[in-house]
Amino acid sequence: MRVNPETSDIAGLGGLADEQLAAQAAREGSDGAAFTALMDRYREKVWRVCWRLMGGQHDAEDAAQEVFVRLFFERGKFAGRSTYSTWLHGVAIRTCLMLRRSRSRRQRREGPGGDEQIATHADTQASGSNAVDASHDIHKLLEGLDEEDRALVLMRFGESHDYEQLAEMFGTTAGACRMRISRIREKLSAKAGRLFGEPVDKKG
Amino acid sequence: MDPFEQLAEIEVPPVPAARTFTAGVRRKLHPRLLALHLIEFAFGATGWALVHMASALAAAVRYTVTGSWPERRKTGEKRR
Repeated sequence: MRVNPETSDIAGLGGLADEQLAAQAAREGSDGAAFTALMDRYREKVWRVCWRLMGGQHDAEDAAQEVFVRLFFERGKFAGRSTYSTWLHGVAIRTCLMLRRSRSRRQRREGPGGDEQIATHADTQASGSNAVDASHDIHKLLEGLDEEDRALVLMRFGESHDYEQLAEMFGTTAGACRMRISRIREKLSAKAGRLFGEPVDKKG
Repeated sequence: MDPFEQLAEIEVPPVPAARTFTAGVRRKLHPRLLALHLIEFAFGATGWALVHMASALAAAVRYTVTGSWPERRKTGEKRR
């Protein structure tokens, strides 16, 4: 079993592997020492996922907290088919997708006059350099994608997860993820030839 | 450069402070836990109450229908 080196030592639990800690958290009746240690261990990783997917400091923090609330209620469901880290990333992605979907439903109900707007990284980045402009463009393009496709691209390229990990996170196969990213690339190149016009190396 | 590769170059801001973050999680978690426990208690209590009051309820229904209240028998006394 893998021991996370970034672990903190809450109640002497720091030396436990993720899976052992998860099993202990599942036995706890409340948010006890093991759950707190897990939260401490994965706070940063969950935060990164949420920030990438939610697009805004406040929404990302809210989503990251929601991920740990959901993790608490699902803490007994980890079956050990993947590493704990990958499983938790899957929980984080599903939570963010659910929050984004409910947020867009709410915005559609409220109409364009609603006081809350979806913040995107594209909106929060100040323009000024070519690199920033390009990332602004790519984020704008990603906003037009299906939520799950957008999350897949962000996890693959923003967080550099490999296809096996993506398959575990999204509940599919590595081949299906590869195919999906290839289709997204084709779709976006058709939309924005300026960005995708140049020959690109086929990492995806 | 592959436009997708630029996504990795965007810096993620630092994670919120542990104390405020954990406090936020607990603020969300505890009301939900309380609600869950109350629901579990309500379901459990309803079941317990139904089981323990079933004979009294049955007798009340029988009295309503037949008009005769079942006689209370002492232990060991045989039905006539």
